[in-house]
Amino acid sequence: MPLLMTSDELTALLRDLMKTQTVYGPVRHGRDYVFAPLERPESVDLTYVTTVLPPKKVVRSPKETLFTFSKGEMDDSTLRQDVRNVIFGAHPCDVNALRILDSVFANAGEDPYYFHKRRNTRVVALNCSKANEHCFCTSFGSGPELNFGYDLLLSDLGETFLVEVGSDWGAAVVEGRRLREAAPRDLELKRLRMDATRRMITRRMNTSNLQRLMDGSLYHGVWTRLGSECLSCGVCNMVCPTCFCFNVKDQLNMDLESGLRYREWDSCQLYDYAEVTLGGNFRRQRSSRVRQFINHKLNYWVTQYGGYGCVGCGRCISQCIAGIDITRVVAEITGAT
Amino acid sequence: MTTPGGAANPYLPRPAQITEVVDENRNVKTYTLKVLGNESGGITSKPGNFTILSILGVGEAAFSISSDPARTDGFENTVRRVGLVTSALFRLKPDDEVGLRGPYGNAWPLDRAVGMDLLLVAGGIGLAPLRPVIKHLEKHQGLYGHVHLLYGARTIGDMVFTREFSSWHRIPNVTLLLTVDEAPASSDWNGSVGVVTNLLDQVKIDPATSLVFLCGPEVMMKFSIEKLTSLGFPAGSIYLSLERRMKCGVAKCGHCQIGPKYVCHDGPVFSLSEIGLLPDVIE
Repeated sequence: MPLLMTSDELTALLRDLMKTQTVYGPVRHGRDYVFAPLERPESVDLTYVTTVLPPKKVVRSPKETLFTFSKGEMDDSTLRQDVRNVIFGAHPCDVNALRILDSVFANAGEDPYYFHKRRNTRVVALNCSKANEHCFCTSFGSGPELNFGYDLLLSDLGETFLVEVGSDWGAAVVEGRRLREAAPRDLELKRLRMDATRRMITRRMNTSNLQRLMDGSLYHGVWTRLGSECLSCGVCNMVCPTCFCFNVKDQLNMDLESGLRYREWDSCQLYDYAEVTLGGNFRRQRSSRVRQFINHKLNYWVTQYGGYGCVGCGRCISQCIAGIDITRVVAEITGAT
Repeated sequence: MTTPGGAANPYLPRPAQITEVVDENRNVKTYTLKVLGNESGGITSKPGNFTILSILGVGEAAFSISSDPARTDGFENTVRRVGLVTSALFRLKPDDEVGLRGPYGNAWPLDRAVGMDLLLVAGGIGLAPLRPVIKHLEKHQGLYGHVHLLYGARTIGDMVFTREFSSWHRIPNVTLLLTVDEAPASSDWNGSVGVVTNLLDQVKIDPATSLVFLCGPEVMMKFSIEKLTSLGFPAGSIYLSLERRMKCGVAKCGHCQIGPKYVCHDGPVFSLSEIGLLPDVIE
């Protein structure tokens, strides 16, 4: 049976977790929220709706060392470093996105850097009590309620949090904390609250037959128009919880014989992303690059990984300075209004 | 170095040593490399595969394997000097070490080609990934019908593997036709002058019983595809090897994607029917 926890009990649990783990939780940052390593358990704000960057940054650092080198010897010992992370308070869309990233980094041989962090990162998820005008997770079944992919799952019931256990680690964390067991009426309350959140999510993307419709629209006029609107800033890629592309670079020290090779997030919206030698470029036009981003999520991804590459978190819509809205693009293509 | 899971770290290059450097022309060299720490020094590859060479502090770049796949004591990469990594490679000499990842990628469909005629069309350094095919054909002449190799370059001085042309000419079922965009009047050039697609007019080949292997600059591939299509070659019989700048070689970094295909993992060899309808295949 799920358990119940008061805010004070949750703060105490968080304080205990922070003794042995690096806990990333939603904290207020100016007008927005960000996932930040917590210094005090009280700084977590579980009333947040969304964050600027998704918590993928915990397992896919914006910049990470592949190996250091010195006099020709390479050292990839970061792969054996002690990592103990907790993502605390992640919403269902972001947890689903982590599962999508798992399939990307497991494809064609596991990516050791990703999985070293991922396997040592626990997820304390938080079902959504609120939504904003950009949320459309219900179109992908990736929210506002989570059914799998968590170690612990919290649902805000108003006075208390319902706590559901999803793994041995989660069971061990709540064990011995003398929490009350939830009653059937608590589960009913959760159900009512989830229904209420669902009603708050009014944005839709029609996903029926979507891959085929997208694939049949690769030369649709919408791409040309979007090419003239898009500013190629790449923010959609940065805030997307499933975007995974990276560039690899070398950094040489002043001694000219030691340094490091690292990778950093890259963006298919940037001009040089598809550049090849001698100035060749396969996506020179902005229209081609926008088409790539949206078709990757809603078309190619299905062929590559067996599901859509979008979880409906709404960040690419809310953060786009040109006002490009993936749900409106799809509506235009599918003929929906 | 192995990862916590026990698998080798795919991003960590292994050491290889340069054993020979051959100047193909002023901008292209062929490097013979041997893998250090394995007894033979060779790698197992198929015609069409590529490697990623790494110079610490500079970076990595992908290169077609240009040697005979049967060679066991090492392998060859043919490199054109175009950027940072290739310029750094050009400064290296025999006995110097480089990092090696791969071989990666798929292969030309030589199994499917058994019993068929072959049309190999190459431009410039695009001959590099086809040289292993020629080496293979030389050893297995009985398996294939007639082979036409059409090779074009901007000038005579831009051609590669010229030292081997006479031996390729001697392979009984191979016809080698050469062309250059421009030949100086004073030269003793006895090949054609003009683009490589013009050579297609000089050969008689039945699209129904032939496969085409194509590699070269974008514009050359584009016009070759148009011409081949007009000659009646179905898209499923035209194979091309594509160039993309690859950052990982293991289908993770995203850079080489064409539609749902990863050129590094699903390619670099594709039939035109696989990719012909996708956007951004050829610039």
